[in-house]
Amino acid sequence: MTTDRSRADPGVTVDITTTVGAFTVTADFTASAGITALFGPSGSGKSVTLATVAGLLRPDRGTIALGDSVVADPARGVHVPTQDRRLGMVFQHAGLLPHRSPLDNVAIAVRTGNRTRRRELAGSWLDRVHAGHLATTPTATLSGGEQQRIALARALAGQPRLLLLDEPFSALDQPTRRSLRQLVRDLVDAHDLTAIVVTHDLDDIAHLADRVVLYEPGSTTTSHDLEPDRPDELLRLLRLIT
Amino acid sequence: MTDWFPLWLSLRVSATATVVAAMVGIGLAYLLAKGRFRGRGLLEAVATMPIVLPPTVLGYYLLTTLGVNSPVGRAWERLFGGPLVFTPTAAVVAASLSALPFVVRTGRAAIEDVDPRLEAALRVAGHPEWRIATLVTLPMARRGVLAGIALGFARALGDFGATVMVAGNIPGRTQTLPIAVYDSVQAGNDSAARTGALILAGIAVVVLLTVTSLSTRRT
Amino acid sequence: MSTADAPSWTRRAVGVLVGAAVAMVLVGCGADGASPPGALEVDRITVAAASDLRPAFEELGQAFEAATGTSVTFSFGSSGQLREQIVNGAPFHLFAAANVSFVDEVIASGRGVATTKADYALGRIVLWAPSGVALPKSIEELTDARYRRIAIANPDHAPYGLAAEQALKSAGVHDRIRSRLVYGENISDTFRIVQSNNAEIGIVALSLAIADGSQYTLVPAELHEPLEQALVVTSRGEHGNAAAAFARFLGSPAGREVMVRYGFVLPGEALPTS
Repeated sequence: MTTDRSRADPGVTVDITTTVGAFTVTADFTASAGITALFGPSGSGKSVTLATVAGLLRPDRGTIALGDSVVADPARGVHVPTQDRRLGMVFQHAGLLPHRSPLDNVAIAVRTGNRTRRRELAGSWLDRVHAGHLATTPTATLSGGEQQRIALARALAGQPRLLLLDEPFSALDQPTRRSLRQLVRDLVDAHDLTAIVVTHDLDDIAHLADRVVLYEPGSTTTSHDLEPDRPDELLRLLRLIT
Repeated sequence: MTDWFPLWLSLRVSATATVVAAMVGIGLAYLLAKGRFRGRGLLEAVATMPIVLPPTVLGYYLLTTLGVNSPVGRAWERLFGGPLVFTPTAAVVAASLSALPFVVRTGRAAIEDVDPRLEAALRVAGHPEWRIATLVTLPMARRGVLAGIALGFARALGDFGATVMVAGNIPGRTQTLPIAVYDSVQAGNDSAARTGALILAGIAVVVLLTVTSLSTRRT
Repeated sequence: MSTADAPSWTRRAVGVLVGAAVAMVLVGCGADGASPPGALEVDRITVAAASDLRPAFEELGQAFEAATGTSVTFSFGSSGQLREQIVNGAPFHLFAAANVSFVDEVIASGRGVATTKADYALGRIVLWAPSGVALPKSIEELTDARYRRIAIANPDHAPYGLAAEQALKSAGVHDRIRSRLVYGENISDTFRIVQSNNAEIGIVALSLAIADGSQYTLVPAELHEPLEQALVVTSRGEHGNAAAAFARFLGSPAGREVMVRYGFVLPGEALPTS
């Protein structure tokens, strides 16, 4: 597969406040190529930020820019619909269509080509997440880990500018988590992707993230680059959130 | 000899009414479940009203709005050469309105029950809202929607009050099975009344069994 | 478990739509006028008739069909309800009411052919109860406590109900039994209420008591305004002619024989003493 380098690293600039009911969260960070983790305790607003970046929620103020293009800026009346942001997204629960086969679920997300071509591309994405053998298995009978692999293939099949992962491993057991974490890492590296992952699992920070955005209830986020050769960084982060 | 016309007419009228109520009702159910617009509450109230209105009141309003002295009735007469009221078509209108709330309410609940993350996943994948409705929402909600349609069919088949007011009781033309049962009782024809009542009760049981099986077998 | 894969769901949806289209076509055909414009012969007319006429008219309809080849379909109801339907465009060809004023109203609305208006019968009311119930000898005896519920037709839109109410008032018993009155939609509904023992006794049309072949007590005609029953043709053209022919048939020797048998007093005849 050839990767289009020009769209591989648009970088994401986020400076927004989003209100859901009585809950308000302010986020201010930049994510460039690689994996940026939004980290913090449950209820600190990580998923709200992700949904706002996806366009599923509208911010009250601020801007979201994918590379040079501003996709949200309420002050200037800008709100690019989710459909037109060219994203890939994986949720905590796979969210596959139970009445469609795994192959169909991935083919639905392919944006170009006729039916045959879309199914070919979907098949190749299934192979890349090591789920080629599951193409026609009834979707509802798949294990949680298998479903997440297919959800990952679906998120990538649309050739997104940005991959959003919302607690993608939290419903899985430890061995499955480890193998999926490695899969995400490999795919991001292989295709030069920009990814944002929401997590409250320190193992994700240790083994997956290139940088972390810290969420603490009631305050604006802070960003930290992670240097693999400095393990004390992790301890400092731990102290910050406990 | 038993006169099968009322049963045949009832089946035709309620089948057509069910199709009309399903087409309008699914659209309305989707709009009410997903839309955020002014007057949504009012729209829902109006679409639900035939459930709580006495059928005779519904019939009265239909007679007033579609009758030969109304603008709609006069326009219809100019277009088709005869009045709309007291025809099988008028019975279809009455039955459609009686069936509509069941499709709208049951359908709306089923559509709201669809996991929003499934729809979000398709939205992220770039599909327009109408594609999401046909790929995800309606297929996932199909059991509830079908249950609503089945209930609507039963209601359309059973309507008496609105139909008798707007379509009358004309044997061989607008006399549906429920009206024929009433007429048989009036005429003292007990065996015909019994046969008609048994058929209607039998159909009702079949419909309710269908609805139950639709709501218990989950995907 | 997952039941439907995509193609079968699609196939089913297509099936439903095709079925719907077929159903619509069927109803569409059925909905076309029962009176095709330009038809040269009339094989059926539809008559709106007051419910006291049911037994007599069903017999007359068959006799008329045997004589002319034109069948008659009846829609029975209270005269007031039928008037409402005709004024609103119900496609009846003849309206046979249980009084005169509803016929006048139909003519005033432009739905009746004024020149065809005619009195065709005088109705009588009776006290009636199913066999086994002691029948009062006069209307005054209705005050007896054994008649816990007394059925009459709704006087608002049923002329026979109005006559019953007038008779009760003339006899001076209306106020005393008012709380025991139950109202039928029309006179045959009233008859069914009594027949099914949901009321001990009723004031119904003589014709219905005769058709049932059971005992009755005639209410003196002077206790209420005469139940003059009038009819009017409510369509024009071929169907109007056929409807007028049926109206004439009522006054023919064969028609009079049937009407008299069901207790109606015909125009030109004296009221029998009760």
